[in-house]
This record gives sequence, C-alpha cells and structure tokens, in this order.
Amino acid sequence: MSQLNLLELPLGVGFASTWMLGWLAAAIIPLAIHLLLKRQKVRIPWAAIELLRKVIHQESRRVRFEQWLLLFIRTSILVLFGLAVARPYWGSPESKSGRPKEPAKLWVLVIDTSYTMGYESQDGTRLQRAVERASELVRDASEEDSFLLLTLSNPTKALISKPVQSKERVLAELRGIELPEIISNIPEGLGYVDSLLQRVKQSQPRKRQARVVILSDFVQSNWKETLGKNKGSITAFTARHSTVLISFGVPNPKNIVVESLTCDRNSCIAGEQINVSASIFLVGNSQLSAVSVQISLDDEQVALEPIDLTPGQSAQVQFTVPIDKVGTHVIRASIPRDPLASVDQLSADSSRSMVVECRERQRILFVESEVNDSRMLQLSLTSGKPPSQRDSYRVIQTIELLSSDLDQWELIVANDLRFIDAPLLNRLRSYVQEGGNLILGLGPSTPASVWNDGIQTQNFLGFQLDVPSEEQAWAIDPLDYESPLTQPFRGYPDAGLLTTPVFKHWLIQQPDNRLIQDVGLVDSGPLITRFQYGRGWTACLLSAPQATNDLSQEQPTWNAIATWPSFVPLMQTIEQSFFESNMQRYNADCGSILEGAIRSNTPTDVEAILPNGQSVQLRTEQQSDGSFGWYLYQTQNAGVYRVQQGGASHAYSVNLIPVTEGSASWTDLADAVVPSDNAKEAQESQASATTTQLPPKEITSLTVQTLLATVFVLLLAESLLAWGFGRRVG
Amino acid sequence: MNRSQKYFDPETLAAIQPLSLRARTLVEGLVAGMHRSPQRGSSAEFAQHREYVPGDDIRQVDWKVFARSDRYYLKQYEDETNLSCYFFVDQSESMDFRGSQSPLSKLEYVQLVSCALAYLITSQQDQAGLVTYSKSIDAWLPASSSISQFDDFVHLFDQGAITREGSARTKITRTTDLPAAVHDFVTRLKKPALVVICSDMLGELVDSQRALSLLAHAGHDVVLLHTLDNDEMHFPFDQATQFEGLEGLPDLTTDPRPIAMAYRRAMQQFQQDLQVICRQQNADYFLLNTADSLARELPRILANRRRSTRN
Repeated sequence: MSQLNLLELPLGVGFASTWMLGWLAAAIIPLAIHLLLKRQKVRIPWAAIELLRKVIHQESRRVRFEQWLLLFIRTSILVLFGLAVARPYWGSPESKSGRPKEPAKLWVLVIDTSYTMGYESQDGTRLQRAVERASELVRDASEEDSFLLLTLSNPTKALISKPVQSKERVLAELRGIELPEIISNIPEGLGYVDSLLQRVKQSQPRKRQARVVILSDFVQSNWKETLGKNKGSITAFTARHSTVLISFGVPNPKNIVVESLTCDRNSCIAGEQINVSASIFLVGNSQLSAVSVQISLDDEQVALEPIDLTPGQSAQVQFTVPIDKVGTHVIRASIPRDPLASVDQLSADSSRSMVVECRERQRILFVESEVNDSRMLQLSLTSGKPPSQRDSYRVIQTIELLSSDLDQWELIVANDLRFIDAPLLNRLRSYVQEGGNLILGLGPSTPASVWNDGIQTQNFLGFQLDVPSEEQAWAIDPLDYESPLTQPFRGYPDAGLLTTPVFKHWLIQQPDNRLIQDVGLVDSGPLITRFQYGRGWTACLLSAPQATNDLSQEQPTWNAIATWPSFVPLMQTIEQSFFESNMQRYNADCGSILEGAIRSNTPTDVEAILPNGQSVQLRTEQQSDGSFGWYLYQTQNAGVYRVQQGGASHAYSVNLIPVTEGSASWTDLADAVVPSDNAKEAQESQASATTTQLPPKEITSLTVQTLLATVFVLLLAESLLAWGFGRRVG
Repeated sequence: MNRSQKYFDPETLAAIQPLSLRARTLVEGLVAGMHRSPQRGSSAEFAQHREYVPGDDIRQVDWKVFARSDRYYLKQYEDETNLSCYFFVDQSESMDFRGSQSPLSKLEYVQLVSCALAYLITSQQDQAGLVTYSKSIDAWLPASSSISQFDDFVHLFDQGAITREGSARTKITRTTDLPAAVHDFVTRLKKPALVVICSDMLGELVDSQRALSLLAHAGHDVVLLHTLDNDEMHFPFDQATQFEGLEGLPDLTTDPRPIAMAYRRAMQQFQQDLQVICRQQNADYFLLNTADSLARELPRILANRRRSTRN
C-alpha cells in the first residue's frame, strides 16, 4: 500500500485519498448555518404572545427533535460525502488476510536532467515541475519510508545512494538539483538504477519494497530505445521493480534549435576567410518568418540574416567570416531570444559556438634520406597558395632529426627514410605524442624490421609493417569516399584518384583498432592510413611517392603517385586534416572531458574560466611518459571555456547535442508514459498492479458506491422531512 | 372594484386622515339599509301574540282574543325607533398591532367599523353609544340619535388616541380586563341594548365567557366583532424572530417555521372556541381580518345581523 496517498487507521480502516478527508470539515456547515440564522433574528411586537407561548410549549419537544434530526441528516450527508471521496477501504492486511503488516517502502526517485527539461511554460520549467512533484511525493510518504534520489543524466548520478528516512535531506537535495546541458543516457541510467537497487537490497537487513518513480519529459529521441513500440528495455526494468513513469513533456513544444554550426575549415592562415554554415530547426506547429540568425566572432556581431522557418524542417544559412588576427577565435551562431520568447520555450539550444584557429603560416619540416627526395612533396604542399600564405619549410637529412628543435614545426614530412634507428624513432614518437603531425612515406628503402622493433612498444603508426606486396597494377579503393581525404574526389571519378598508378605497397599487420584507413587498394590492404597518437597525428602512405625521376635499377618503381593529378589535393587534404583534427579537441560536446598538455615537465597551475564566469583550478595528472596534462570535467553547460596556463589562454567551445523533438514523437510513447496531470492516479494504479498488499480496488469502489448511495438516500430523506416538518411551507 | 367600493379598501382609508374624514369617506360608500327594531314596544304596528305568564303587564293583554278563546294573550308591537346600540371598543395595547400585510392597526380598523355603523344607526334615528375600555372603561359616550353623535364618536376616538400616546410616552402598560369593563357597563346601563364588542379577545377564554355571560344576563343583545390582524391569523414568518410581548407580557424568541402550522391550528381553535362561547350566550360572532376590504366585511355583518334578528 502506498503511503503516498493512503492513510491507514487502526481497526483496519484506511483511506486511499487522504487529502480528500478535508471535506469532513464541511460537516460543520449546517451547524454554522443554524447558529448564524439564530443570531440573525428580527424583532416583532406581537399581540397573541400568550397563544404563541402555549404553542411553543406544546411543540417544543417535537420541534427540537425535528431540528436535531435534520441537523444530524445534513451533517451526515457531508461527512459521508467526505468519506466517499477519500476512498475508504476495509480490512487491513492483518485483520482480513492475516498477512504481516506491509513493510515500509523504499522510494527511488529518478529525475531526468536532460537539458530538454529546461523547456519553460507558465508553470516553470519541466525540471521545476518534476522537482515539485517529487517533493510532494516525499512529503506525502510515510515516516517509515526511505528514499534514494538519482538524477538521470550522462552519467547518471546518485544524489542519495543509500536509503535515508530524513525527508528534509531529500527535499534539500531536490531543491539543489541543477540542469546540465546534456542529454541523459537512458539505458545506462536505468542500468545504474538497477545495480544500485541490487546493492541496496543486498546490504539492507530489513527488506523494503522498492518503488521506482521516474520523472522525465520522455523526449522521443532519447527514450525511443527504452520506451519504443516494443517497450524496449523498460519492460525488463519494470518486471524487476515496481515503476511509475511521470511525464512532464507536452505534445507540441515550441523551440528554435541551432542544430549545427560548421566551417569549411577550422584552421586558417591570417587573412583568409572561413565559410560558416548554420542549420536552424523549428520545433512547433506554425511557420515563422524573418527569424534573425546572428553570427558573431569573438562576441562581436559580424552578420545578421533573417530566415523563414518551417516546422519540422531545417533551414540553412551561410556566412563568410574573414579572420585577420592570429590566434584562436570563437564563432557563434545564435537566435536573439527576446522577441521570440513565446515561440522559443527552450533557450539552451538557441546558440552554438565553434573555436577556429588562425595561424600566421604553416611550418613544415621535410626529412629526406637522399637529396631532393622530398622535392615533389614540397611542391605538392606549397602549390596553389599565394606567396604570402606559403608555408615556411626546411629540408633536413635524417640524421639531423636528433639535433633539430622539432617543436617549432607543425608538420614533419619524412619520405621513405632509409637511415632510421631507435633514437630517431623515439624522437619522432615524442614529437607526435606532444601534438606534432607526421606524414610518413613507406617505400622500398624503409627498413621494416627497424620500424617494427623500434615501435613495438611505441606504436605510433597504428600497425606493424609486414612485407611488400606483389608487384601489379593495384586498383584504388576510395572506401566509399567516407574519409575527409577522399571527399574532394566524390562525384569526380575522372579527377585521377581512382587511376592513381600503384604497383607495389607495404602490407600491414596487427592494425590498431583506432587506425583510420582513408584510401585502400582493391583486394589488398590500405594505401593511406592515419593514426592519432598522444595529441598528434601520423599519416602513412604505404607506397611512398617516388620523389625523383632519377630512379636506380636497384630500386624498382613502386608507383607514379607523385606525378598523378590526385597527388597535390591528396597531400594538401592530409595536411589540412591534421590541423582540422587538432582543432577538434577545442570543440567538444557537453559532458565530455577537456584535456591538454602542460608544456613544462613540472605541474603548473592551470585555471579554467567556465561559461558562467566561475573560475576553477584544474586537476593535473602525470602521464606514463612523465609529462603532465590537465583535465576539465565540469563541461555540463554549453559555452566557451577558457583555459589559462602560464599567461596563455585558449578557448574551448562546448556545445550541447541538439534534440529536435517534434509533436509526432509522442505517438510512440503515449501508451507507456503517464502525463503529469494524472500522475497521482497513475501512481496508485501502477502500485495496484505491482503491489499485492494493496487493498483490492473492488472493495474500495464498492465502499465508495455504498457511501454515495447513502448520501443520495439521505438527501432525499432530508428533502422529504424538511418539507414534512413545514420547512418548505412559505 | 366599483367606484363606491374603493372607499372600503383599507389601503385607501389608511391614506386618509383624520379619522372623521376617513369614517365619512367610508359611510359615503355604504348603502343605507333599513332594519327592524328587535324591541317590542307600544307602537301602533302589531307584531305578534304571546301567551301570558305571571308577571306580565296586564295592560298588554288582548282582551278581544280572551273573549274569543278564553285564554290570556299579550299583544306585541314592533318598535322602530328606540334601538340603542353601544360599541364596546377595546383600546388595549394589543389592539395597536399592525402586521406587515395590513394597512391599518386593529384599533384603527374597528374605529372605522364602529364609526360607519354608528353613522348608519343614527341616520335611521336609532341611538348609538360608545364605550372604550382597556383595564376598565376608559370613556363612555351615552347613546343618542343626534346627528352630531358621529362627530362625538370621532372626537372620543381622537381623545383615546391622545391618551394612548401619553401612555406610550410614560411607558404605562395598557392591559385588558374585559369582565371588569363589562361588569361596570351592565351596572351603569339598565336598559337592554345592542352591544357590539370590538376586540381581538386575546385574553383568557374564561374571561371572555364571563363577560359575554354578564351581558347576556343583563338582557343585552351582543355582537362580537372578533378583530385580528392577517399576520396573527396566518403567521407568515420565515426566520428566527424575537416576538415582543405587549401588555406587559415577556418576549419570546423562536424559529417560526417549525411551529407555524401548529400556531395556525391553535389560532383556528381559539376562534372556534370563541364562536362556541358566543353561541352559548346567544351572541353573534363575526371574524374581521384587518387586511380584508370593508366593502366585503360591513355588508356581511349587516346582512348576517339582519338575518339573525329575523330569526
């Protein structure tokens, strides 16, 4: 029996709707009216006073009896009505069935804190309503009941992980719940609730019946796997635990979502322009016109574009943002909120930002075994760029790797290194691990054993070299053009990629799971791979471009990649992908962990400024190689986080994962979710279905019907008696 | 309502001041009716024969009948001129009561009735007199057939009003003692007369019976105009009420609705008891409701009275 709404009295009488007993107070109304009318008397001089006195004397007993009888009937009507609406039941477990008294409950309150719970209505946000309902539930619970409190998030958190009976503690925790801007991981969350309940049951000497109450808006995109047409995992969950789902969503929300913000590149050279594209989605039923989309660069507006929005559809808006200043910049697309407050009930997803980098120029170090080995590579990476934006580069011999300051170079290009040994490899590995980028051509001169032995424990290529393939005309496999390297060739089969002449290449073994294969060879292995190691990237061309035309007979020709039209765009996209990838860590989703390296070998103070202006000291951890890194976990809210170390500041953009919930989303969930308006009844009905010790519904219903019938009979009797007693005679 | 009958409407009459003008207005509307004197006297018009009983005046023996039948019969004659009528008007506090539906108090109502009837009587050369009483006789206007008798009636009633106002100011209670007043009356008036009692008779029934009995024994022909207010008869109250006792009786507070039916029954019983007493004392009984039109009440009294005298 739920202590939420039920009051059990001694002698086996209980009430299913305790608050309705307030109607009993109405029983004093007839008495109050009687006393009031007695006070409101009129004065009349009367001649036949003796006659009246005799009549009163004769009739006093009868009149008193009639008055008391009517007062009793009228009071009884109100008392019985009050009892009927309080839904009484007879027979406690002890008196009727002989079963032991029902144990106290363990209420498991699970409140969804997905950012969509921030939808605002006249009654406040969904979260505020959910917290209010949960507080109501706690206040109505029995003193013997205990509580667990969890916020369904990503990850799900237990605010109260051990059963507590203190209602004040639970209410205080409820009041302190904040709304992060992340989407809850429902399956993980339910799994956590499940495991927590298992632990509690095992550790509790006194068995308590658990009642799980999930308060959520049940956004379809987030819950469909759990509550879909086949009810998903919720069926197994409710089979194990008595569960009530209370919905705070509405069928037709109104919301303008900045669905995405993309740039054609997030790293550019000073003076270049970045093309920005924003996708705006309208959730609602009615079309909107001339909705302003604002683009700002470092909080200064650079463009304002009005667009028309159609419900359920995305609208694209594109801008060009020139960037002149070297450094990192924040580009933001937002919907000015004030004029749209009525049609934009959720403000959290009305803005997205992105961090882009502007460099003075690219710095590339070419490493060659023979003079002019890298000439074709130099040409490919510098061609097509205006003189002012040409990369600054340097060419060194392999042996110079040991003495060069590699940190000043953004990219090292090493093609078919012949004279390579373990110290050199270690130098390259460190360079990559700390954020450097390496393009490696592996060709006939590459000593596989050195690479394999040297990188056995330092595998920064993502694989081990096997043997060279057979010599034949290998056909290029673009791998469905899914890689950013091959995307420029999509739709252009004559651009040269597919006909790139490759005759021989290295086969690989023991590929790492994280190895990215950008271009493959039909019926063979990959041709171009990328692998992230530490904070840097390594790209391997498994058939090293022949750099010179002066080929010796001892070194057979492996390919003609360098002379093919696809070579320049391939190399430039590889280069661009490094900087793109490097910038990706500055753009993250809410809830993910931001991390970075500490330049010095000793831990230094790293401070982060959160979007709300709060300053936090970041935790630093030592890596396996002895270096230090910082970690920022408090990324629950969208916005720009600025990390400061050693006087330098770097911006990180954190965005929420947008949810474009539409009205249609409710149809699939309607049969599984209880609207919040009916939550109390639903709690009772669900509890009836899952708790055997509840009073049978039929008994309650019969008692209520009997009481209402009695009320009707008493009303009839009162009318007849009042008429008979002369009250209806004018 | 025809033109003459509008003068009998209590509401119309209530709007007319003073009493003399009000009463004249009423009588103007009355149709003068002749009545025959119930007194047998020595006038020329023969009425009937009656057998002689010892004590009768032998001068009235009809000797011609004796000669024919050898039996003694007295010869009786109609007497048309010597009717003496006294209006016995109750002026106690209870007669001042006026209910919510009545334009006139009970006293004002009976004053009108007595003035109107007195006017009729004197206009037929009969004699009309007025006695007002409360605890005892307050005023006495001897019977007269003078044309100014009507004005004397009005004057006496006005005097009574002044006296009552004085009593009210000095908070002197005007109680009723009908038997005492009647006793005084019969002691002072030797000649039998028609006595019209105008009262609510809201005292003890025993007292009423004794008073009527005294009058009957004194040879007076008695007519009781039992005058009640509409509220007193129907008790139409529907909320808790404090009933203030008149004539020094204590107040009563009650919810009238539960006892309304019982009160009406008790009031009807009271009227029936009075009727029985009247019948026992050979008196005529007329119930007057002060809310009713005099156009209906006065002809009813006159017609019934004429019928009873013929019987």
